[in-house]
Amino acid sequence: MNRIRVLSRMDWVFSFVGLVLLLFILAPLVATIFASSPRDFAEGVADKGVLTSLWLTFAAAFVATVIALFLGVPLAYLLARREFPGKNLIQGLIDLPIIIPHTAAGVALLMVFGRRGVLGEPLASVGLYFTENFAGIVVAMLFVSLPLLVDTAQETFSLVDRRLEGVARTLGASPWSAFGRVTLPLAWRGIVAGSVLMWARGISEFGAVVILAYNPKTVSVLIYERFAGFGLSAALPVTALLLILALVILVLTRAVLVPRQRVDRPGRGGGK
Amino acid sequence: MIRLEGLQVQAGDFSLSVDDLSITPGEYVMVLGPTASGKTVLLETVAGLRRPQGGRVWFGSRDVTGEPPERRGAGLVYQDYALFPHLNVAQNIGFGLRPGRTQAAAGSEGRSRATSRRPQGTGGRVGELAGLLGIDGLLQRYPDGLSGGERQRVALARALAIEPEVLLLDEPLSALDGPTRLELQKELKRLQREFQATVMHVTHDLDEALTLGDRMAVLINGRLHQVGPPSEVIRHPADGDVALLTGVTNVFPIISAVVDRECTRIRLGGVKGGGTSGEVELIVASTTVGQLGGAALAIIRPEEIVLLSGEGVIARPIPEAGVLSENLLEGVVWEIQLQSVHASLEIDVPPVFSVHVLRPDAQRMCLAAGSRVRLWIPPEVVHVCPV
Amino acid sequence: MHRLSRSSVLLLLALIAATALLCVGCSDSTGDGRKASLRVLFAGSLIIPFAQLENEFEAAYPEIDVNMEGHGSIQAIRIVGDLHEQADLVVTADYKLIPMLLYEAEDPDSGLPYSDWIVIFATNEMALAYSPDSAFADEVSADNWFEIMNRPGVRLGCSDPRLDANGYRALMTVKLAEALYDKPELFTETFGGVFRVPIRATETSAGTLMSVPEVLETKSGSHVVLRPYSVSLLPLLKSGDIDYAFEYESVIKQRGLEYVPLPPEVDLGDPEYAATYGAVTVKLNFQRFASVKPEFTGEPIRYGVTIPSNAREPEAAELLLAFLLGPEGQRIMAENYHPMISPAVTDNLSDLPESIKAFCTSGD
Repeated sequence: MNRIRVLSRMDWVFSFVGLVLLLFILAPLVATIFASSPRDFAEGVADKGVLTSLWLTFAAAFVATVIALFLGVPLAYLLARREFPGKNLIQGLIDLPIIIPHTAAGVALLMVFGRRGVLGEPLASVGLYFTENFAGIVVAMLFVSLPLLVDTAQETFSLVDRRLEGVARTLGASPWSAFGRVTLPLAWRGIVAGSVLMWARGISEFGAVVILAYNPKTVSVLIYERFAGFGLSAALPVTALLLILALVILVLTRAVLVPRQRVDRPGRGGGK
Repeated sequence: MIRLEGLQVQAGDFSLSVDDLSITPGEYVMVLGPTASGKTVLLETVAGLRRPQGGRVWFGSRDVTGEPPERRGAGLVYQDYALFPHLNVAQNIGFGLRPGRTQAAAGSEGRSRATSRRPQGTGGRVGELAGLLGIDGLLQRYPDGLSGGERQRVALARALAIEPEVLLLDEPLSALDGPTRLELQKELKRLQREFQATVMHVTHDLDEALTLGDRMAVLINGRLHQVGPPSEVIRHPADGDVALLTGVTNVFPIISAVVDRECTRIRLGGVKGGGTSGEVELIVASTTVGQLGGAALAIIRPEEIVLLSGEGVIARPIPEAGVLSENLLEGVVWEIQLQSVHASLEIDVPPVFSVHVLRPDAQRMCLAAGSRVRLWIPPEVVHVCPV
Repeated sequence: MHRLSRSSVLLLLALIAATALLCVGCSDSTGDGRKASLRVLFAGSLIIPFAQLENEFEAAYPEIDVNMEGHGSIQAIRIVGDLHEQADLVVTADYKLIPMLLYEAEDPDSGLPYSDWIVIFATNEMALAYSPDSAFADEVSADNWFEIMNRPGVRLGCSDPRLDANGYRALMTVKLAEALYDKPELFTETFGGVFRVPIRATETSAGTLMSVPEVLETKSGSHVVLRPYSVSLLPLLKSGDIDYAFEYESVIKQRGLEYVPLPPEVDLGDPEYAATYGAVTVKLNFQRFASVKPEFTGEPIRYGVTIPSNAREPEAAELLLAFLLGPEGQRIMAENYHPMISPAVTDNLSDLPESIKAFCTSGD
């Protein structure tokens, strides 16, 4: 099939507009990376605290995403497939964490997961603490970024033709089997995309983490503290490192996720 | 044996109700109906994908009304095939054969049997079915690389693989072009005989229904209007709606009727399609007029009317013992349309009658708009039914 | 989105656009000069009285819009001195920070130092806050707080000495308590083993020097909880995640919390004990990032304020400062349990703006 080689005027305009936006993102990135000298950069990141913090942040976001997968994907499926009373309320509830200012979310979570909180108290008695703890970071990240996963998964599920599941059922598959053999294989890409989104969002979480679990420090808290306490030059190397790492991860994930275009092959009989 | 009893299904604003419909094992039942008549809802209810608000569905002696689809064993083929896009042809066909499938009750009556009795593994069965449907060269291909006809065969093979109690076909041929459709019609018939499958085939195409169906059920607006052999239904439609659906445009209200010892005379009239209104008197062989209390309709199939040209040339042979003097009408050709095999004419008597003749005959008779012709309506072809 | 119809989306967009336009239209514009906008960077312990100050000032001067920004004392100053950002008023809980960080720092645009005068206008005291549900809340008093806070299972909240004046003051308080209660191991008991890199206390001829490392991280499971600013400790008190917290008395009273009033020998609030306080020094011992290596010798808590040289609205800033130092400000601070020094003390009377001179006397 011949590719269309001539660019229309619309292509030019859209590209230009898009370029403006890209520059908007690129400028801070480039400015940050080039703001510190290579030596400062090397010093700033060789600090063991930085690497620990990065690892911690990535790991906590990962754990939060995994939890959201197990709890959120089934919910997303129900929302995509079924009608039930109160559905609108539930949809609104799921989107709530996005709208709530994150410090407010942090305070709310503290009330629940603090040592005297509704959940914090019973869990503390079995040794699970949330403030000043990895678990708290996970909870904060989970709370504020789970809508991304659930919404994306729900959208993805609704794009899977319902009737495929129906046909699978008539062929003898139980609802679980239909879900696992038909729905999931068709939806997994979207779900993974939503997971990446959620993971990425979790990494950047600050407001809620600061309140619920300031320590151990995630990289956003670290940068903030460096900046607040020691000034800009202290914060720049870590920021730059984080930006580079994040970009690399996002690009890699896309490369893996987005399927290469399958070559069009007309079937016999005119491809009807 | 599939039986629907007192079925009431609600789908949004639409309601479907089927009082009684039975399909004997190995029977090919066509469900004829216009779009939005509830055909898909009906099939999905039989398959178990929809829950009826009332009534029962029987598969043989089993009441499957409450059973989920995976335990019923009904094979479903949709109009757009609904093949699993992420699986290749072999995997699609074999989908129902893998473990992970709940067992439908063993030993129920009327299940389709494979022709081969040899015990086969899954791969063998898939290959066998593919061979039967002529798609064994495509086993590794994916649905998006297949033509419409090929996809249809895959969908059929997939449904047949599970040896279904009943095969439910939802307008399976509507998306295909003419020659492919005819080809697949023959295939379907052949397959059904070979598998001795019980089939419920839904369509809006009358000719398809006539070709394939042992019996035909007419579904209009969520209700069954008539069930019977196709030839029966088209000659004796149960009411005006069925008549229109089966291609009859000569539907006239009966104004008056006189029942005699020997015959029945009716007076029919009405306005049709832009023509003038008028009334004619006919002798009919039907005796049902008297039994119908209220309004009744006279229905005459267009190909049953005998056409005579002004010069006395007859379009087709007259049945024996025809009484030529009665039921002889004169009129003018209002409109004539030549098709490949037939010519359809509108003759203004008044009222306007639709008449079909073979095209060569129409040409031989030099018929054109404005030609004067005479119509003879055999008494036995006038069908009377309620409104 | 899948569940919003087209018309809902359009409606929502229109609503957002309308709201945005409304906000733009209603916002104060300094462009046409009608409304001046003041940016005030201040120590977080003043957040409540300054909110009240903002309301009353704006009511008295409707043409001036005050934007209050609370930070840690050190951070507030760094925003100007380090980031070279503009502020109209800088208020700190440790007056020494301004000469230390702003007198030497130059505004790159004007070449002038950011400040050359400071007005010392308020005091405060260190105290130990707790909640009714805190461990041993029924037992704790001015005689045993130092012992209770170190009991097993008790969690103590402290602010970060690298970021907040309250933090290094807490260190001083604990160190001073050693002498008062004759508990020479108190500092080690409280802070030893808590941080990955410990705060070292060494005895010199002048007293004790506590050295805070550059990276101050609590080990997991330690009984001390560190937060950048002392106000962040208060929610943790409420949620039960800490039992006791060092905080300024004014803040504690503003929030209506339970607290142990500390003896004047250790609470850094009584000028009579200035010499005692002087026996302890906290040094922020980092070489890499700080422009100076700040050293803080214990002294009575003094709040200081200045108008930076790069203030955009110096006249309006003077009005606000005068308002603060005058009868209205004094009333507000008194209502909020924050003791003021009146007349205020300044180190550079001659360079003060005229309107402020009236409120000040010269001093150190």
